Amino acid sequence: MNFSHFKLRKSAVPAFTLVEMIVAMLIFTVFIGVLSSSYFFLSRSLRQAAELRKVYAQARFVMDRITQDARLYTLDYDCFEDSEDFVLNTSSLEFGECQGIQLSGSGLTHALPLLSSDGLHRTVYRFQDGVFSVLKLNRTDLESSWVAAEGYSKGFQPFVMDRVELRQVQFVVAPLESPYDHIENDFAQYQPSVNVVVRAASHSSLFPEVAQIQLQSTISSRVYGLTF
Amino acid sequence: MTFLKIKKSSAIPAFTLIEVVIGIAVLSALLTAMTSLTITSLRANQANINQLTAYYLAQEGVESFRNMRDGNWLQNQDYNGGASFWGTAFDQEGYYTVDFRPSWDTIDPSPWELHYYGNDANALDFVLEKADLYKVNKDSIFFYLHTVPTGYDAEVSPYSRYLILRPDPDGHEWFEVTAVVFWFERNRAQTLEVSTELSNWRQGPL
Repeated sequence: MNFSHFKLRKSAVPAFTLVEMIVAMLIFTVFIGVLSSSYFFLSRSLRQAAELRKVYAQARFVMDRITQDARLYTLDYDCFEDSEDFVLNTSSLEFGECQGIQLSGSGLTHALPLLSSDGLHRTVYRFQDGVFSVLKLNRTDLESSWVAAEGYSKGFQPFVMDRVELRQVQFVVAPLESPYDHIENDFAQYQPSVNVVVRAASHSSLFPEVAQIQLQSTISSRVYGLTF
Repeated sequence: MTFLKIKKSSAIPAFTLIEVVIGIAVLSALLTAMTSLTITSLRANQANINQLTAYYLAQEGVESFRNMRDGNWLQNQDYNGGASFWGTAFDQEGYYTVDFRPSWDTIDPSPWELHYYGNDANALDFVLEKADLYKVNKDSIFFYLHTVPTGYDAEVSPYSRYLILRPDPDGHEWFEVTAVVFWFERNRAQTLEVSTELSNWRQGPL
């Protein structure tokens, strides 16, 4: 071994001092810290935005469907006047009268039955046990019985919500009886209308406060003078 | 000695301080831009939700006048009369507020409660004071209303609503109703207006 050569090599290798290393590591740590915290903030915000968008889209979808149908159709008062529950005879796919939709004294109901102006199409929106569902029925003339529309042979079809909690779909109808069927009832002489409230929130526990929505509207029926 | 000199000065490729500083600056500018983009999109979502809620509230305001007009026909009243049902007739130009009545019943079956505030600058101030909507609830029944019915819990909602009624200047039988909903979003007032024209096309009882 050549001693002088060894000495030369030792000093020739360039290196950081301890102080330089500590300072460099400190700066690097701070840099990584800023980087990762901003990354976490970013990803959290993105997920929050996605949740908000989902809640918005679902609430709007439900509200749009109900208000559009309520405007074109009228309230199906036949449904409110029976007291038994909605029964589906699966063997014949026939329905009796639209039974069992309870109407409280203040017009509050968990199901909204709507009837087309020709009396041949019935759409029932229902909110029960946290599930929003729809049933469509048809009949060929006013005397024949109701038959499930295509795709509704198993009864109410639930709307699938993409991890959005539909907290409430609330209907308040006025008046309690059809003004056209009960012209003797002064209390019923108002054009049928329905007040709809939709409340939805995100299923995610991360943003319980941010992602929630409450929509309200009232729709006045455009169908006049319908009697059966 | 020559070997040492080469290694020390130029043989090791390295960034200069300027290069490193520029690199970090570009990276942080990129990060800032991405963050602000995300925050903007988040705010846009909240703005969408406010806008949608306001839209339906405005729609309710306009629908209420349609419903009251139709109700007047059914009640054999003038198409813009019916003060005994709604609280006031709507045959005057100016500012109104309207509420769907959640407590209507067989004693007072009218579904609407209408208030008239006049048609001058004072009336506008007055209606703006009364325009706030509350989020009320009782036994898990929820509404947006101007007044809190007895027995209901209430919190202030961000939304306010009033209605402007403008009759036809030529005295024909129609009027224009505009529902104005406003709310505050990050201390800035946002307004949404929905309007329609309602006529006395029935000219008599339904």
